[in-house]
Amino acid sequence: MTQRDPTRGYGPPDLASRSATTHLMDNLTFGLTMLLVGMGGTLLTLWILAILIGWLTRLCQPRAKGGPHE
Amino acid sequence: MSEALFNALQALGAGARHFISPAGIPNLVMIGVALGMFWLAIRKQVEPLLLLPIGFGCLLANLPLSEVMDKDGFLRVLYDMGIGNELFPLLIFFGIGSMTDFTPLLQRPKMILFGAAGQLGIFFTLLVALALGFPKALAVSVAVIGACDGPTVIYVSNLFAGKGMIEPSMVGALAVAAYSYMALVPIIQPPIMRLMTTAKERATPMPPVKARIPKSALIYFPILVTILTGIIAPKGLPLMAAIMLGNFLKVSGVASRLTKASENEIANVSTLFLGLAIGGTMAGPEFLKPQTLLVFALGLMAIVVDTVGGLLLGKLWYLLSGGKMNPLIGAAGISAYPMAARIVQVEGLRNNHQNHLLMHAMAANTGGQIGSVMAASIMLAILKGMGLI
Repeated sequence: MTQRDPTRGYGPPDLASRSATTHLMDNLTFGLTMLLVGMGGTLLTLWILAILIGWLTRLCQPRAKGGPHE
Repeated sequence: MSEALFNALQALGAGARHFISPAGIPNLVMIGVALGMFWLAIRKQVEPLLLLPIGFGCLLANLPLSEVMDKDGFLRVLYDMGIGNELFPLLIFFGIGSMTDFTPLLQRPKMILFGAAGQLGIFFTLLVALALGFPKALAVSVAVIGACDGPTVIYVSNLFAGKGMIEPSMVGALAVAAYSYMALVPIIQPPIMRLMTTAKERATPMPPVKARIPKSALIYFPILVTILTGIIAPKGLPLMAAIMLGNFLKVSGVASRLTKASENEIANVSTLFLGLAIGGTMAGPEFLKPQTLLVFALGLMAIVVDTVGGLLLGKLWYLLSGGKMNPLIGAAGISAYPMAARIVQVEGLRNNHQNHLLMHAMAANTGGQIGSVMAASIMLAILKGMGLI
């Protein structure tokens, strides 16, 4: 039975081999990656959520009975 | 006979001997810390539901020759039952979800962006902790204090402790720092708000939003957030799912017994056990070290920078909207709910007696709750992608 290398990620082989190198990543690279992807990802996800909430509330509004001229 | 008497008396005096030996000094200091927590909780009403059990656990763990954290010890059983496997923070989140009303956020969806800006402290603190030479896992754990969210801090730090990436005693320090600063938000935030905004900005009127939110939207919302988190940051899904399940039960309107149980019994029992078990990790020799003090200092910085981040976005929004957004609302984009929103309301009224910012701030504050869990989830997803967890 092959043993999983604990330093590797669970992604596809190319991602996993890249993951192994991140153990050697210096603190600055690690911190900046977390800042950019983490803060950017949070901002982007919440922005998407804001759009989805807008759609959701519009879709869920009860339709007015009859037209404006009735 | 005399030897038996001597041995018996010696056994009774072993605890006292430990206290007066040099090895007992850290335990004595930690008993002082436990008494300090009792004082804060009882006299100053600072997070009493948490500081009392944490303090008591700390007291028990530091009594000489105490076996409460040994294998099968009272607190060790609690630790293994719900902290070691991250269960208790999630159960507390059920309760938080069932107590949260997302209606103000659904009325003003854009306010959720303050919930993102309010996480700036997490990432800034991470950089500083790394620059100070903290190991990556500990730096991430300290940074998450900026989520202003005790259960999230415990969940993330314990994930690392379980993998041997940080010492278990640090989970206690991180939890105490997180809950202490959450309680101190009313003291930390107002001076920063006054420093960063002008009187004119603080007096900006915000008209009430009267949009009616259909019940079906409130029901779909937790499902939507859960699915989105599951797609983007599955590693943090349990955190978000627990909040959203609690909220889903509430808004469904058909599971009042479960909602009441989440709000009361489940949240209360979990809080008690979590506090005791966390306190149990605060044994003097492991807890008292310079790194612990740094954790407290960095935690404070995280919450200060969170507030600055929210206010900066508020000021930018004020400029871009031609003065229609009160920048104070940005300070509510943290997870301390509903405390941060109330502070914005008080500060707003101080500058304009007709200005009621509460519901706008509530929207930003619930956005901050989602934002903090999302930020932690995204960090975990990145760490997993890097192969670090």
